[in-house]
Formats: sequence, C-alpha cells, structure tokens
Amino acid sequence: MNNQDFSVSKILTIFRRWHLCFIIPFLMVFIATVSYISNLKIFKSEAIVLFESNYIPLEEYFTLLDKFEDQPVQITRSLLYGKPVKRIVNAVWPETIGNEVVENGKIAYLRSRNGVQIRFQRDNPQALSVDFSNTDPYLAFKVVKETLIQLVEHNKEVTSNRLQTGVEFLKQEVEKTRVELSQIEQDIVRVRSGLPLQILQEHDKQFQSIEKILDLAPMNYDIEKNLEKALNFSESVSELEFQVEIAKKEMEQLEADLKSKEYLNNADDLEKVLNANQDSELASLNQRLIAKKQEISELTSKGFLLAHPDVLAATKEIESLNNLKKTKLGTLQSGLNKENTELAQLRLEKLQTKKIEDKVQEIQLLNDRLEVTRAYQSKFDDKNVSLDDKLKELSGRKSKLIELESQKIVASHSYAQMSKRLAVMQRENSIDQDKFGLSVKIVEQPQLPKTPIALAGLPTMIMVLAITFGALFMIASVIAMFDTRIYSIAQLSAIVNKPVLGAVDSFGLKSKSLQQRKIYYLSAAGLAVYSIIVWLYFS
Amino acid sequence: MWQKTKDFFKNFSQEYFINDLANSPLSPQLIAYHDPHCYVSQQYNQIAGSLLHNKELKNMRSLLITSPQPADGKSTTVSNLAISLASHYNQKVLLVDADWRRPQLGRFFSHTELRPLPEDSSVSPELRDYIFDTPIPDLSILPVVPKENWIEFILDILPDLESDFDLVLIDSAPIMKVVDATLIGRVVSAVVLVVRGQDTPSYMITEAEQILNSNSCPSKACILVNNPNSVDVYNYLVNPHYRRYYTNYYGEYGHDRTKPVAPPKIRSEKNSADLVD
Repeated sequence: MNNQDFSVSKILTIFRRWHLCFIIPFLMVFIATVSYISNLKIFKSEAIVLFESNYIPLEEYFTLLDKFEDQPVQITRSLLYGKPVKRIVNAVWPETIGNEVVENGKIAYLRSRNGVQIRFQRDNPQALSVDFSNTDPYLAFKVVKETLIQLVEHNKEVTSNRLQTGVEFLKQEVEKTRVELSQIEQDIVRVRSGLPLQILQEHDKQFQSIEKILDLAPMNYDIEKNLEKALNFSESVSELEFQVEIAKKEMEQLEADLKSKEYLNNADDLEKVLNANQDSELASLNQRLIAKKQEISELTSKGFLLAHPDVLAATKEIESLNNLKKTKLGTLQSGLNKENTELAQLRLEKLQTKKIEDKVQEIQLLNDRLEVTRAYQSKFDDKNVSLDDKLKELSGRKSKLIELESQKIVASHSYAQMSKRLAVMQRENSIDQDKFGLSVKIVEQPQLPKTPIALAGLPTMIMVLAITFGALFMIASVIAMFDTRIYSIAQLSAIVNKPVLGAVDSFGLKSKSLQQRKIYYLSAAGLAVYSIIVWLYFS
Repeated sequence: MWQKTKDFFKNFSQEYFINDLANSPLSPQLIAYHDPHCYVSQQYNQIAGSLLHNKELKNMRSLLITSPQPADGKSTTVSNLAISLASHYNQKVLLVDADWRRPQLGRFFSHTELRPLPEDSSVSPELRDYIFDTPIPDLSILPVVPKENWIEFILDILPDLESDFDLVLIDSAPIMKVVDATLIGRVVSAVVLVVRGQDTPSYMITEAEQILNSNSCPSKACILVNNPNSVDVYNYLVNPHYRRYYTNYYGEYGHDRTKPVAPPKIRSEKNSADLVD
C-alpha cells in the first residue's frame, strides 16, 4: 500500500478517472429518491382530546418534555409504554398477538419520530392532539382510534387506582385517628378517676373499638368529688363500706318481702303490672300525688319544717290519695279473672327478683370500687404523699383534663369527617374526576383521511443525495488509499529510480472515445429503463 | 426513420480499423508498421531514439524486454520498437521470441508472410533454419519453434546473433512468474522493464527490480505502456478537427508508401511577412 500521495487531489483524480462508477450510482439514488418522494402519498388522521379540568396530572401522564418548533411541550409517554401500547399494537395488527418480536418492532415504530404524535396544543394547553401519518389511510385512522380508546381506558384505570389509593389512605387515617381517640379517652378516664391506668383497663372493657369509644356515655361521676375522695381515702373507704352495708340491708329487705309476698301490695309495681296508666281515675290520682309531692318539696326547699301545718296537711292528703289509689288498684285486681290474676302475681314476683339482682350488682360494683380505692390508698400511703403534693396533683389533673377534652373534640371531628368521606366514596365508588384531571372529552373524533397531506420532499431529497455523495466520497477515499497502481511517468521513475524511456498510449482495434461513447449510451439507456421501472414500482 | 435507427445501431457496433487492417495479414498490434505516422508510432520512434542515443545503452547489441506480470504489453512493445528501429533508424534488427510458453511474435508477423533469409546474408548457415525475414526491411525474426531447451538454445546462439545483427531484441516471459528472463538477462547488454499503466502495482515493480538486481541483470530503463494520461489516438483519424490538425503538420505521407513524400504547404507571402515581423 502506497499512502505517500494520498490526498484530496488523488480522491478527485479517482472521481475523474472512474466518473461513471460514481455518476451512475448517484443518478440511480437520485432517480429512486425523486420517484419515491413524487409518488409518496401520506395520509394523516387526527383527533383532539380536551381535559375538562384545570388540573392535569403531569407527573402521572406526561413524564417527559419534548420540543416542538423550539417550544417545550409535554408529551404523553405513559400511553406508549407498558400495557396501553401493547393493546394498541394488538388491536391494529392482530397478527402480532403471541409474536413478541414483531410486537416489539411495532411498538418501537409507534414510539419513533414517525410514530404516534401525542402532544398538547400550543394555543390551548388543555387540548391534547393525537395524530398519526402513514401511507395507508385506514391504518392511520385505526391507530389514532385505538390510541384514543386506550387513552380513555387509561383514564379509567388511573381513576380506579386513585380511588383505591384514596380509600386505603382514608382507612389508614381513620385507624390512626381511632387509636388516637382511644388513647385520649383512656387518658381522660385515668385523669378523671384518679386511678391507675392498669386497674382501669381491667375493669373497663369498653375501650376496644372505635365505635364504642365514640358512643361512650358521659362520665356519671364528678371528677372533683372523686378526687376529693381520693384525697381523703379513709373517708372514702368508710363511706363506701357504709354504702355497701346499706345496699346489703336493702337486699335483705327485698328478699324478706319476696318470702312474705309483701311485694304483692306494692302499689307502684301493681300499677305497672296492671298497666293502669290508661285508667283516667288513676291518672288523675297520680297527677294529684305528683302535685302534692312537688308542693311539699317546694315548701321544704323554702325552709318550712315538716311540722308546719301546710306540710302536714299535704302529707295527710298524700296518704289519703295513696289509700284511694290502693283501693282503686284492689278493685282493678279483683276484677281480673283467675288466669290474669296469676299472671299479675308472676309479674310482680319477677319485678321483685329483678330488684334483688340489681341490688346484688350494685353491691358488687361498690365492692370493686372499695377494693380499688383501698389499693390507691395503700399506694399513696406507701409513698408518704403529703397534702401539698395531693393538691398539686389535683390542679395538674384538672389542666390535663381540659387539654385532653379539647384534643378529643378535634380528633372526634376529624374522625367524623373522614368516616363520612370514606362512606361516600365506598357508596358511590367514584372520585371527583374534575379535581384529579381525569375527566376527558373527545372534541374531534378521528376521521378516515381521504386526501394525502403535502410532503416536504426537498429536505428529504437533499438529505438522501448528501448521504449518497458522502458514501461515494468514502468509497473513492478507500479506493485512493488502497490504489498502488502506476498512472504517470513521474510516478514510475520515482519508484524504479531509473530513466523512463517513454510512454505509449493505449491503443486497440476499437476507438477509445467510441467505446466510451458506447458506455455512455448504454448507461443512459440503462438509467432510462431503471427510471421507468422505479417510477412504476413506487407509483 | 427506420433506416436512421439501423444506421445508428450499425455505427454503434462498428469496429474502426486503421487502413483496412482487416485485410492485412500482419497483426493490427503492429501499429508502427500499419500507421507509422500516427501518434503512437511517433511515441515508439521516440523510445527507439532514446534507446539508441542513451549514454548507457549506446553500444548495446542485445536488449531483453520483460515485465513484472503477464499481459503487460511486452510483445507489442518489442515488435513496434523493432519496426521503428528498422524502418525509422535503419538498424538491422533481429527479433527473438524467448517466451516459448506463450509465443506471440510469430502470430504478430504472420507465419505465412515470413520468408527465408537471402543467400548473401551474414547469418551462419546453422541459424538460417530458424531466422526469417519479415515484410519490414532490415527486420528479421526468430520465432519459437518446437525445440527442447529453447532458452539454452537462445543463450548458445546469442553471441553469434549479436555479431550478425546491429541489435537483437528479445521478448521474454514475465519476470515474476518464471526464471527465463533472469537467465537471459545475465548475458544481454541491457534489460528494459515494461510497466503497464493503471494496472501494474508499484510493489510488483519494486520486487521485479530486486529480482533483476539480485541476479546481476543489467537493468537500465523502463517503458510505460497503456499511459492513462493520453488522448484517444483514433480521434486524430476520425474526428475532422484533429484530422485537419494532423494532416497540416504531418502531411499525408506514410499512408501510401508508393507515393512520394508530399511537400509541406507553402504559406502565403503576406502570412510569411507577418511571421517575419
């Protein structure tokens, strides 16, 4: 290989020497390009989709920025990746189903620069245009149509996902609020009762679910009273013991009444059993009794003693009214038949039994409280808590209670709001699409294109010719690089370093120019035939 | 219209011969014989002159023509050079065909046209059976005949041939293929390398030179044939413009050997005066 004189001039010499070898391919490419572009008919199908809401979820839909005429525009990528694009390809080209290689090829084609164009219009950022160009008008139409279908489907999927995510989120928030509420309620109870939380939890089983917490009845004992009792444990314990004793005596009395059947004379129970409220006479007696009792209570509240004549008169009247009532009830009882009489007695007995059971339960509760109070008392006694400390704790608990009450109000409010929203979502199974930008409307449906669009052929032609010329230049360069043959006397004398006697031109039986002319004619004829074939092929 | 088309295709496929070469028994390759005034013949004359007047080749008696690879144009070159030396420079030339594997000279000069040497020839009687006269005066040829050890035979008779002729031109086989050229090259006065333009690679020329030098062959000069930077010689005969140019400067002599040489055209007095001024 002789690279000594490899230069542009040598390349140009190669061009000149084998000009036909370069001109003919160049013309062939030129003719093919012109024929192809002249006969190329591109059909474009287009559709416009309008996002009806002001908010467009860019982070989910339009993940990339592209430049269109030097203006940045968002383009839809999610449609051309993943499942949607596969669905589009399978719908447009059914033969790709099961053939992954062909399917991927089509997907790459749809994603390419000549593929589906999905971009927002510059004059209206809410309007999304979808277009596709192809030589086959039906294919262009079908691709755009399927893309729109998948856009709508994609919307549905995104909506469903958002719904699920929203429900999950709300459920978590509700659970968190429920736990928070539970904690607050427990704190409140602890502060109110002044009892250790551990003991409280053993006795109060109602803090297990949020529903029960929300339906909690208000505390039926006063905090100050309770705490004062807590401060005077000895008094509290004795009082509780006294209450237990009273309750036990009451229970004994009730049991004794049950044995001696005194309960049958109980006017109130009898009235209930006989269902005597409907009797007008008894009703007027009851009203008069209530009025008299009210009168006595008013008098005592005003400071009148029981020995006061008015109070005594009222008391006597009440007694007479009670007697009348008993008489009336006895009349009603005697008017009953045998079966009803037995039934009434049974009911009375049941009422009495119920009273005894209630009393037993009350004693049990009192015993529990007594036990807890004793434990608390012993705890304080062990620690030698002074009176100041107890007062300090009292004030601290009061402020803590106020704070917890306010927290409870806030937590209850938010819980109620979230529960309501969750219930609405689960009931309607939908979310506010306008708010999430998922409400789309197809403004312009795709049409089957009937006339081809104008094609900018000149740039393509120039590009192809430039590429061809470049390729030919490369070939000439390679030839020049590897060509070591002799072309002149100077070249020969430089190699052999001897005198060159002379040079003889080529000669033969046929004229060189005529041979060359023959080649020209043949080349021209070949190019003409080639042009016709190429034109017919592309048209 | 049809006739025009027919003529077009007839001309298209026509082969152009010089001076009715189709009727000549000698090969059309012998252009120095057929058209001694054409451009190529002039180039051969120039090379022949260089051979005779070159300082290094001045007293040479035998010349070996070889080339690096086959079909480079050795036989055509040596034949035309011999014709040019004999006819133009009045040298008594013997053309020896040493390429017995692919003999060309006998075909070029047509065996039927070869004649035995005259009685008064200085050539020894043993060689008269091998050497023939050609239609060209002062040019004899030693074509290949069926004989064993043809190269050794040539080497044996070469001193006699050098004494009998002014110049012995030997056409040999290519130097890169067989050793014939190197065998003969050791005994000849000079070796000339023929290089075919736009065909022979430079590395082959270098290798051929190295072979000649290593075998002590007196390599003296080169000739470039099939020169790429040339004009179509046939244009001088076919194209009217070139033909007029050609005939103005060279006249019509040489085309018909029986006619006397035509004198050059005399310029008008006015033109001569202009030239003098």
